[in-house]
Amino acid sequence: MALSEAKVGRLMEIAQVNGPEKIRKFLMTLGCFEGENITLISVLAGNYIVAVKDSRYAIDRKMAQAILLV
Amino acid sequence: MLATIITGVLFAALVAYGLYRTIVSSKNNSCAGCSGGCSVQQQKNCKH
Amino acid sequence: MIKIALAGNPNSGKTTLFNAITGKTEYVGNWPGVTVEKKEANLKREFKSYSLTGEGHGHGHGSQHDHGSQHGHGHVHGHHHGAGERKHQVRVVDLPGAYSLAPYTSEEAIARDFVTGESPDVLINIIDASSLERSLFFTTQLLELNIPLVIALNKQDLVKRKGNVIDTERLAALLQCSIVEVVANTGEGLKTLTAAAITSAGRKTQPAPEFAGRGSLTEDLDRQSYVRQLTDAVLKRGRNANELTVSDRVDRIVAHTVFGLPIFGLIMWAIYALSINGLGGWASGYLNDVLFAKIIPNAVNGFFERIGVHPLLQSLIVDGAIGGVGAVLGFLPLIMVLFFLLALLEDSGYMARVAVVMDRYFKRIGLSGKSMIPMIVGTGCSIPGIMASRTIEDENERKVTIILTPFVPCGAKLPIIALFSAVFFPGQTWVFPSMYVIAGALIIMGGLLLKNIFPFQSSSTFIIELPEYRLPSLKHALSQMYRQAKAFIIKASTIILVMNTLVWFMQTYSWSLHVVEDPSASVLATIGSIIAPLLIPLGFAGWQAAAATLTGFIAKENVVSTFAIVLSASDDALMSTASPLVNLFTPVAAFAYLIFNLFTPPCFAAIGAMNAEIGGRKWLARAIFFQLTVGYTLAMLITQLGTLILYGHLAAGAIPAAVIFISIIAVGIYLIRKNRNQSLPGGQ
Repeated sequence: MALSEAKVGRLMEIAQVNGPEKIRKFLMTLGCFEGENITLISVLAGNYIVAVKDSRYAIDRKMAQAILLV
Repeated sequence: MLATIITGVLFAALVAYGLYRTIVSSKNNSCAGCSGGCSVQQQKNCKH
Repeated sequence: MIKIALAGNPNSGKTTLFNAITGKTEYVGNWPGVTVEKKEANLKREFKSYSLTGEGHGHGHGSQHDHGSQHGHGHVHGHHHGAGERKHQVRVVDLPGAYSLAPYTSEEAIARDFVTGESPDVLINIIDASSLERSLFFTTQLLELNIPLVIALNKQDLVKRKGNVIDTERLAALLQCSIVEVVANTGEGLKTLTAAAITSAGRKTQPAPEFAGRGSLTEDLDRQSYVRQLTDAVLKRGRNANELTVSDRVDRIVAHTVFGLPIFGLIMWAIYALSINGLGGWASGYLNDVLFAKIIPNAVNGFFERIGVHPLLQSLIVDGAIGGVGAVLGFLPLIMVLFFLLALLEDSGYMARVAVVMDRYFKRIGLSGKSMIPMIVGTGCSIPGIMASRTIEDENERKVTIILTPFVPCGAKLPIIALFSAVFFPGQTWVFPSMYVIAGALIIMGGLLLKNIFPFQSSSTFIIELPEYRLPSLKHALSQMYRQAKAFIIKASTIILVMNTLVWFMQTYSWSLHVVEDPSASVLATIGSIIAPLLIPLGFAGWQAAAATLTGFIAKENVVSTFAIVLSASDDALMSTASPLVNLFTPVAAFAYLIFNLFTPPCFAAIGAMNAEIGGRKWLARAIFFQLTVGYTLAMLITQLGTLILYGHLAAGAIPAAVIFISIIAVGIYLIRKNRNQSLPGGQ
């Protein structure tokens, strides 16, 4: 299941991150990679607000679809 | 006459200083006073 | 000389710290990506003298706070410093934020190039304590550079509010570096921090953290697991980070799919209405109508007459310099109030949410919410706005953002708006916000056009960190206001003064250097008359409007000051409903003139910044041509259609206007067609 289909407010585990290597590496530095926890906080204005390692990020739909959950 | 010369010189100095500041900042890609400026190429000798 | 570099994640407070320890007032905002350039300054004296008396031992961590005492609080390890070193200069370098040493955008590369290439003597790594684990990833990379490192643990107040506890002593021991707790906003702990940094600089080396897998192919993963172990060892979480916070609840309202944009519009309208109708507008009115129009000129005239200065020089100083500079300086209170309010809004953390709200609209034109950041910065000055486009990783997106950012009315354009709305639309609050609405519409339409004219493959992805909301700091807003006011005054007393002197000479003398009786025989008038015909379809008659537009390219405030000089013969104040401007424009043409000056190419300094950032003269030429066409066409449409609808007759130059409009449309369609054919598969 992709992050874009996840239920709001539930702690999930990342199974895989797809997409161009550059973006994967960038997400990795933020702590968004396989085995890590991620929570979808809300979906606002077409963007996905996620909690990763104590921080909040807004990511767009394309990125949310590239993050696959366990 | 003397008053005109003194006033004129003072004013000219003020304008000259303004011109100097303008040229220095335009070399740094900025206006005088504006906090922006300095391109990637100019970073080393940039005074901002 | 000791060189200290400040490195850390975006929005961890580097620039706030930099300003505090150097006494500078660089641009700070509570959102990531504000600093895109390295900035250098000397350490303030009070930090230097203190640090060199601090002599230390200890377990490799700083004392938690200094208590304002001058001696002996630098509990940091290191060597004894002799008195001779007091003379040494300490340079502080503020770097753009980065999440790792492997850069994602070009401003991150600046940070990496500096720490790896220019070998600072010591690094201060600022860590946002509320996101410790993410920050430590970058920290462990910095520790491997063999440059002494001191950690400044910032925003501990946020951590404590969350109920988390960080064992700093343990962390310092594990990383083998000093850690000082600071609150950059209030200045707490900064003396201890600079003392620790200077002491560590003498150490010359820095042990690297040891973890399994360093240098291997899976290094990033291994580093992450090492960082996790570190965090688990030192951080006690009081609350689950995934719980819904107050910030999250506020976000659900202000970044709402439907209400997000109207809320943003309402907030901006309130800010502009408050600046113009409140204290700022009132004080500006007083300065313009009384101080710079009567009191100062009368006093100076009286003084010059008494000491017997030549009438021409008197006219140059009073009508040219004081009249012109005064017309611009009069708007200072308005601008100060405006930037004070904007700084409060920025400090709250709201701007990152605006980027989220705008992302959807920018996606339609091949951009992303990231493009909103340069545009928000551009409300102050287009130059840092254009430079802020470096946070955009995609090259095409960056180019389009650079072309569109100058459409946002910058601080220098505010006097033009304020003057024209006071003269032609007194008491009507819609004029100011309408300029921003038009700017927004132009950005979207311009983006769509650019997307269709040039073969862009948009690969935009959007990700932005959302800082937690906080109560805006009054001190911060005041210092940002001071920064803007200072810039405004410097600009008025340098570039504007020079231009005003030039304008006065050009309108007083003829080409044969004789003083002219009638200004329409002057140098300025003949130059203006060359361009004036081009402006007839726009409804602007006479050389004065043309001359003012021309000087506006040097600095936009010059539009106002040029009118002040050229129309100084009139007895009525420039900024009144009886202003001599009324003879030059109908209200419709005045609105069009406003549009024309706002949305044509920006001032030459901004064009210089565009040249540096857009990548090549060809793109610069395209950008300027595009901006010129957009401003010209829009002003023409407003005059022609507005005159027809509101006054019921055709405006002057209606036929050439129609011809020009049709040819612009034709060229546009041709370019779009050409691009479509090229981007067809096999068409390349």
